[in-house]
Amino acid sequence: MIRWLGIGWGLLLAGVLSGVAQTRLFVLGTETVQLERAEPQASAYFRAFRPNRSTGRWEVDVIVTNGSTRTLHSPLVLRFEVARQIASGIPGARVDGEGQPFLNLTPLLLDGALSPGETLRTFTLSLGDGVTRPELVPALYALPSERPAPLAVVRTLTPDGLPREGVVAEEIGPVAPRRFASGRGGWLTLAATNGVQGWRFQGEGFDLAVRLAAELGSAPVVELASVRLPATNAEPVSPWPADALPVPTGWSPVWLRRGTVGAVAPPLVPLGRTAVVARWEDSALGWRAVRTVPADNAQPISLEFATAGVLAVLVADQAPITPAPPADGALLGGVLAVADRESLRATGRVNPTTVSASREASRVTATATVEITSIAGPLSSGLKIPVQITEEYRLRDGSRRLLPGYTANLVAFQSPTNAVSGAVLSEFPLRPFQLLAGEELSEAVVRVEVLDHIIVTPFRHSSLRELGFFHQ
Amino acid sequence: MGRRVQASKVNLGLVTAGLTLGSGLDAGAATGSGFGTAWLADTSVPSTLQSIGIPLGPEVSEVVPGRLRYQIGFGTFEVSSTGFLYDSLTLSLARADGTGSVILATADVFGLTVAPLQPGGLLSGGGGIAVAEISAILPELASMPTAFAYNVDVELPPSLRNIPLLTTFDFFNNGDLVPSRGFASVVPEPSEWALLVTGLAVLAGVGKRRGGSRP
Repeated sequence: MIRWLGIGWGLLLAGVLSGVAQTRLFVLGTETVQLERAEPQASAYFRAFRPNRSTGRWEVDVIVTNGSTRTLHSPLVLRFEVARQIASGIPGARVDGEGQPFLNLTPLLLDGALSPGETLRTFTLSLGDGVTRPELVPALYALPSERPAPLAVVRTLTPDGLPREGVVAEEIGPVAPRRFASGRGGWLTLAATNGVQGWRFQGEGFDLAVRLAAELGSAPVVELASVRLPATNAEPVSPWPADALPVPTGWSPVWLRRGTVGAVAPPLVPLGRTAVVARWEDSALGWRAVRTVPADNAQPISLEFATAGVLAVLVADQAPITPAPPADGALLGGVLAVADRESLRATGRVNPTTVSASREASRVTATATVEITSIAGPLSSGLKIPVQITEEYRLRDGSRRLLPGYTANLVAFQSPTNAVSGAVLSEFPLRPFQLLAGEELSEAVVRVEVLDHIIVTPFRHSSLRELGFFHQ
Repeated sequence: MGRRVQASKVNLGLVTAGLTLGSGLDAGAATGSGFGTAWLADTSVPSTLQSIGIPLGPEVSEVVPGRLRYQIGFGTFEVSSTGFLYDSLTLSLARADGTGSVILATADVFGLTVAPLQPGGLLSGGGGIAVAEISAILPELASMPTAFAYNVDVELPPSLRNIPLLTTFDFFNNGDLVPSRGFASVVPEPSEWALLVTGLAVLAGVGKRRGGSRP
């Protein structure tokens, strides 16, 4: 019995170990890259091993072939796990941190990859002294291909900011895009597999919202800004929420409309700030500059389009980190912004702070504002602010209700009219989940807490500061 | 008179080849002179490298202007796989003093690999190598799962004609205990064989006469 148990554990351990890919660091040119060892079926044949009496060395033709079932992606390295009796080395080979020689085969790849069954152009190695039998154990290393696709975690919200289930996210990019529906609490987990450029969010009664896969960067899991879906509006021209479509970092949307707009009446743009009227271009997944808005402009700008679309006035952040002014007709680019979270300070307010109880959502919906400043300097528009919203109800019958909290990932922008220079603001609707009339409800408190990190896993957080609350 | 001289030259070539066998090179259990008769080597000898150098006097290129013919055969029980160095038999050609050596062909489990002519190498400037598979595999190889033989014709560039050369056969043993065997020879042309036979006959005649003239 004990024997079998021991064997069983041994097999289990072997299974675990074989599943762990071996990776090593290689210096290729000026770059250090981490590569993964390919399966043994992908390796090198040594053909026509021979002494070269002219050079006094061994020569051998090397045929690198991919006998495995997976494509090996560039860079490709042939490392000699064992290399004995090869003095004075292998011309063209470098030595890794463990002193083992390796050859960079990347230049031999025709299209940056070695497909299953494919063979590289044969090359000749020179090694050893042409007399002593060398010992070589080669292994191929390539870009880890088993790396899982980055995951986007995103929460879908109603126009008034409550978690919303059943919102459909459709992949942008693949020939056969997949569709996913948000589940409990409005959560969606989306994989940025090859070819996925982003996702379009749509649901019954809701208009378009988009998130881009590029926002994931190289992190394995990233929580994207929560998708607050715009309500479908039959009006020819209707306001549009700032967080439905991705805005390049460094730009603040100060005026958004959907429709065939006749005249843009942008707010005054302060002197020294760049502002553009831009139109969302779905095929390019970006904002295309239509016209520059002069500073201190008080005149409406007339624009009209044959088809309905989303139009915005976007104001560039103030110096020192300001995006380049785009030419008319160009797509807006962003800036690279890094915020040191230790330097962040949050304040907030809710307007109005108190409202009377009502079963009508619009009567108990306030506007919350989170303002983030940094002692390290100005913050760039586009900063994501994770918040947690909790609700507590005291009913007239003396009972209390405490609803599970929910998180949202907000986007904060510099506001050109904000008095605090370099701060970023996020405005969002806030309302109690339960709509209770005055004869039932004594008091409801809705709290918003700003969390002190950008959420990587949606279940770990700590409170930075209680932002504000309002009473119903 | 002229005929005697030619016969003498051929004979000298053979004697030179015979002297080279085992003279400093690890001949091991290899057999055969490599000129006219096959030089045989196999993995029963543990040495990493068994080699034979065969000087080719100017008479070879005089008799067969500008061309050398080799026969090479190889057999093995090895099976090709990635990451291994396999037993092999290699033909090389150099000037008589060993300089300018070039590899002509290597036989191993993968087959015969003909070395590409290298710019500036011994065979550059008009040389070339042509190979043709032949069925004349020695009985010693016939039982092996991989076995083949080739004629290897080497076209000498003008610069190598009428000068003494050195050809070398190298049998590499990878030490994996899986048997391999190879043979190689420089094949004299028919006219050369005729000269060889004539030379031997003359020598035999001279010997008889000397023996007959003894008291």
